[in-house]
Amino acid sequence: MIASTLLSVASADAGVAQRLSCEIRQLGHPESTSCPKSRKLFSCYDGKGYHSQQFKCFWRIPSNSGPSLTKRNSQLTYAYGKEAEDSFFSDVREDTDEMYDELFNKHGKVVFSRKDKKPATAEVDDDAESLSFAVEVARVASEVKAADIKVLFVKPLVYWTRFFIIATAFSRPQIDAIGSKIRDMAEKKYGKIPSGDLKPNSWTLLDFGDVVIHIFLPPQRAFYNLEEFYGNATPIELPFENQPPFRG
Amino acid sequence: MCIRIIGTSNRRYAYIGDVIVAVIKKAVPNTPLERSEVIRAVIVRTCKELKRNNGMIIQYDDNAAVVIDQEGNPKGTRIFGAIARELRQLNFTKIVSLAPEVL
Repeated sequence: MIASTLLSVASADAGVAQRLSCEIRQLGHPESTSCPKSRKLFSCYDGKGYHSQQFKCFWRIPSNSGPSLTKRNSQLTYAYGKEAEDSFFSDVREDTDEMYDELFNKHGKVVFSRKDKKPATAEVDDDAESLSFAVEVARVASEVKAADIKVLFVKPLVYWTRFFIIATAFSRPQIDAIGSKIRDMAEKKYGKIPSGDLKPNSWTLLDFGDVVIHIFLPPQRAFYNLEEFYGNATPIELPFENQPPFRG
Repeated sequence: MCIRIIGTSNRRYAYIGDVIVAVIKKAVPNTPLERSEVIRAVIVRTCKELKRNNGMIIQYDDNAAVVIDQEGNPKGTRIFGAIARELRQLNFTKIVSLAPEVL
């Protein structure tokens, strides 16, 4: 017993290695403590592996000795923590139902909502703004004689944009003309700069964020068939569509 | 099989959004693409995880690429499976707009 109390003091030393405890396990049976040599060994090094199992009473003393936290000790503290939590919950559980009911009555069913979420009115405003922009773009495209212009409201289908504008042009210079005219209009009126294709392409795409414009050559339009892919999107009526074509 | 990553000098691996030059090792018969053809493709899915700045990590079950031509138009008409939204920032909005699901 004396040796063990000595040990508890020695174990406060942080420099403990598992290798040493193995050595001690080899050397140090309780009987071997009678040998003065082995006792010396014990007092020098931490005998946590073996003796800890015998004397549970001094377990809590070296627990603050930093890195030499033993396995059992950690389990103990965990158990304490768990018990403490349980007791905490049992105290709270009685009140929670009433508390939640109160909160539900106060705020409705949604208790937690993200702060960066926009209110519904702002969403509607954004929708209206991009709708006006989309209609304007479609008008510009029809001025440059793009054919078969369709404006699709794809927000319910995909999250990454609001409107698709699909138009057909009949040659690459015409695609270029439509693209540059839309770019100019967007920059002047709305201050938006598109990403996407800069050169005219058989499928030219202008990405304004909320509005994405696809300009196709007729074979590519039939090939990719985007309208069918977004068949569930609501098409938007264009104001100038029903006007009689201008004849000079 | 990947031959080379375009726009890099000495890179060993391609990640999502990289354009690679590749050769077709196996092809379905009666399709426009044949075996041993050299093509360009965009990586759209990788088993290697993709990390975002907000702490999100995306890891797919397979590696996949979309065959494109020199102008960046996809050779096919439809894309299967989910793709990452990073492709839109890298000017592959055409691929994004053909995809059924964008993560």
